[in-house]
Amino acid sequence: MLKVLIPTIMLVPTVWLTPAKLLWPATLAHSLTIAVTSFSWLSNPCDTGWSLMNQSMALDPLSTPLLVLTCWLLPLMILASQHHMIHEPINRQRTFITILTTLQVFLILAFSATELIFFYIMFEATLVPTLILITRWGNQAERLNAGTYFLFYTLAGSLPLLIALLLLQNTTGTLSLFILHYTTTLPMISIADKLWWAGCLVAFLVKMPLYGMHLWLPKAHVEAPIAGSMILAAILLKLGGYGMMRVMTLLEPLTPQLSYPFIILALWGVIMTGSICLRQTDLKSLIAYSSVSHMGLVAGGILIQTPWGFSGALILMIAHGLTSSALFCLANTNYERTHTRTMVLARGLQMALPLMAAWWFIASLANLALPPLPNLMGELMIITSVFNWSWATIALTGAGTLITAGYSLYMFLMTQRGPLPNHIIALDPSHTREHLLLALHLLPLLLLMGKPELIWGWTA
Amino acid sequence: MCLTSLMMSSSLVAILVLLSLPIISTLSPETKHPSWALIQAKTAVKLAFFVSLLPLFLFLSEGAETILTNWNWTNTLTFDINISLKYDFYSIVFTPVALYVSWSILEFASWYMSSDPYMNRFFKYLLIFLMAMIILVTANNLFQFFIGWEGVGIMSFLLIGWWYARADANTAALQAVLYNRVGDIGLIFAMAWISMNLNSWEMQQIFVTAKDLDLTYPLLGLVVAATGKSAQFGLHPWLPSAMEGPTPVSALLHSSTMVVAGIFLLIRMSPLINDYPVIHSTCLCLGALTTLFTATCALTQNDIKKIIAFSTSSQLGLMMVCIGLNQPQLAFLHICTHAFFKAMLFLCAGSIIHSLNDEQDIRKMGGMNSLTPFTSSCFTVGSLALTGTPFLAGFYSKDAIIEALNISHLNAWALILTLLATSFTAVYSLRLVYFVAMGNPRIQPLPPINENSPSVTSPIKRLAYGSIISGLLITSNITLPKTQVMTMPTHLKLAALAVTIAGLLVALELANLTSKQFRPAPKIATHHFSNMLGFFPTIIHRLPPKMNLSLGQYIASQMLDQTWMEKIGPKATYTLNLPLITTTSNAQQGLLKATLASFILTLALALLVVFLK
Repeated sequence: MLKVLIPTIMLVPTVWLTPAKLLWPATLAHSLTIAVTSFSWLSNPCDTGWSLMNQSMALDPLSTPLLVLTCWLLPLMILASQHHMIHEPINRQRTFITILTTLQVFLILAFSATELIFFYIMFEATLVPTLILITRWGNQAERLNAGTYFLFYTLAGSLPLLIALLLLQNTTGTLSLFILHYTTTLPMISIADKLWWAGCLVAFLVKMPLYGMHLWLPKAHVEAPIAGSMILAAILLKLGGYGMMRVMTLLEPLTPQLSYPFIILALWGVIMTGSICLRQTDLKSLIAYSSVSHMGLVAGGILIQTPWGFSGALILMIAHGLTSSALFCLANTNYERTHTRTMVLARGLQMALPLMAAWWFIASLANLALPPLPNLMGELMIITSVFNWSWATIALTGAGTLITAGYSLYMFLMTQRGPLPNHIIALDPSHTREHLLLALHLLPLLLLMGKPELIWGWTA
Repeated sequence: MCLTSLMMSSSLVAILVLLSLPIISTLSPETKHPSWALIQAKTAVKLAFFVSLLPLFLFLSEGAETILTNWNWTNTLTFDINISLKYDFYSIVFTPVALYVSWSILEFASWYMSSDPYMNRFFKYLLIFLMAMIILVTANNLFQFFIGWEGVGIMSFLLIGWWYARADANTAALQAVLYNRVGDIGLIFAMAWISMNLNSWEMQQIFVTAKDLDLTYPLLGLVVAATGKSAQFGLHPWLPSAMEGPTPVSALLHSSTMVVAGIFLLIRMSPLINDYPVIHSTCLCLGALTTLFTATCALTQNDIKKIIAFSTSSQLGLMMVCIGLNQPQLAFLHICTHAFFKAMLFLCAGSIIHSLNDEQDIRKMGGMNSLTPFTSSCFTVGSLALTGTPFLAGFYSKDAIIEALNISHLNAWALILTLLATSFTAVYSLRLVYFVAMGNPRIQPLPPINENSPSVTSPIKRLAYGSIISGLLITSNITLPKTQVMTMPTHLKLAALAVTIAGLLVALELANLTSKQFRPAPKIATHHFSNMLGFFPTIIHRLPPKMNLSLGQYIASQMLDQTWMEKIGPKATYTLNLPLITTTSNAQQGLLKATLASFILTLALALLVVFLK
């Protein structure tokens, strides 16, 4: 564990001590080395349970894929931000990378925490660098409002979690994930118990976000700089899913009845946010709403609490993390050239940037879950597991897949196909950096097809 | 492993390798020479065809079938997904047919697309499509089948939208994917049901374990899937729209291979459907409705490709009827023979379209018989085979289907519809030949007519041989697993032929009437119905999308997201706190009296508390 954590922390001195000329290459190389080191976690020596333990951190099949994704994303964020940061003064560039690094440190600690309170603190700590990222480095004035929404939605959700966790600590005497499974679970008798149940989950449902508590997400995504959008879509939303899976297993007895409304809401949200995507004119907002839609499926899969549901949710989280991050990068390549997020102003780009169109195509296909991409495996498993609960859900999930296909291809056709408008004929050619960035997003996705057990979670 | 099955499985692997080699060679960054298409891609398909003959002969001589399960892909608890390939009757016979047709089409495409700057990419797409199709055909488990199923769907998206700067092409491409997705919901439903109840996606295991369960719903899901992919009534409009793609694409995907995937799924699953009369009637009625409806639409179209597309849809309906009759083998036979003549019809149409300077309207053709004698005679042969003229390819399958239909006791309504559609086949085929090949030319002066290139003639020729003899070849070499009824009264036996001839005669009469002013004011309501495709797209392509898009805009986005959720969430926090905030802050605006008063009040209270304690 520490062999990744300490180098990540040491990335901060690297950022500040490297000569200005080498800042970006050095940090990129450093973070990529960390990411590659983290791959070794994937070969989990013990079949079940925990590995690589120290006093407060450990790995298990659930957290490993998310941790590796976290480590993998830092170099990608650095790669993606390079172009729009290059005009800033050098110290601001250094600050920017420092913030990204800090976020990474908090995320590693959050995913590898073995104590729920430790997890909670790290979960909250990630808010700070993210908030700075959105409100300091965003482009429009609306970023301040977006920051407020982001902070308050998340905080309002997670403060009850603190109380719930303290109560749990009081009752069971421990919050360690190793032992907690062996303690007796809280009885679900009074209304207060049920509120406790809700308190345990609401923080994560807001973070996911569940439909109805998602307003912060499109705003934050749209206003954040590219690195912010990437990390939000790829990792921060997954913190919610991860936390839910961790807590869900502690809430066993009465949760089926309590979670039904949430499942329905999540699946209903898939359709509603999907339909919103169909009418989006703003590219980043479309991708953001599509994230809400996909995370709705994840929420459904987790709340259903079957092994298939959990595996499907984890697979979809990883696959969606890579896919939506790739889509944000693609949207950003458009933005850096045309300086607009409005889709009608930047269309027909296949004519100008043919290789980018290929990346767009693969990313759109991943978004609409083409078999055998991991996205499909995840969606199929989730659809199957909620279907196992109730037949009627196929109407919601089925309509969801239809709408997803609709807006993914709408996005592709709108941005890439059709004639190139006259006002954007003089575009920068695409950079090798951008191709590398997208390859690093999509190749892992393609490679995961070969060995999906890596992200299968507990049931592998 | 015995020698036979070793040979079969290695030739299957060889086919896949042969097809993937040219695709892999395009991964290198250097631009391929324009001859890549012909030299590498076409040759690969040709070689693959010859390799695929080996298992076919082995099957014919020894009846050998084989299943390869080689790699445990992944598993969840006890649920395994393997890579397993099935090389049985259906895949052994269909693979050579598909490869033969593709070989011809690729050769033709090298002529048809020769002016396209991205011809190599076009060939690459076709090859990837072919790979997906072979994966679909040889899949032995549903997951793998699903990969092929979606793979062909996405390749059809790319190929329909080949001329991507055209809005029509993009719309048609999107339409194809969306209609197919509706079908996919059925497939996903069936897969979910099967995995939950039978705990396996392997076909044999499904067949064995499904004995005691009621499979009506998952089978209906499969029927929906087939409806989407095979353009059955309700989900059919994408197929004629798909004619926006280049003609070789129409020939390969939208006539001979991809669109039969739905029927193929039902054929694969036929052991399950066996015991469910409900499913049979559903398929029968659906197929009959499709075949009649689309044949009706074909009657009055003027676009040469649209007519052929509608006839494809009509034939797919006939295959569906066959599934409904519980004769999946006959449906399969029709898939095979249909592939030859329909691909040839499209290639001929492509050749004519190019010869007439990209003119697709049959009213502006005519007299092609003397201008392009070879193409138009093959065109006529194809049309005749399509109508089921005795001893051409279509006869062997189509006639058998209608005989089976005649003697079945399932549904007289479906029988009548199908017979009507059969006579309509003759009508639109004759109309096509009449307008294109016969009569006087109505073409532009100076058309670039040229059908001398061997890359036009030899593929059409090869397919023409296929259209003539494939029916005889296939039926005389294989024994259908299910026995046919061989004896029947003469009038039943001749029914198919009789309605076809009646259709031909009526059509000839009608065709003669077209040049005369028969009625001063013709009644054209029926014409409108047929010409406007039964008003189906007008309704379905406007109403549901409008509803859905309005839901997205007005309800989901404006009403809920931007109004209600804002109002009861963030804005409510703001409005609820505002009175409190204003009250307390108003008290502290530097008004000395108020400040001192509250100070004294607080002090008094505090003292009171202290002293009274």
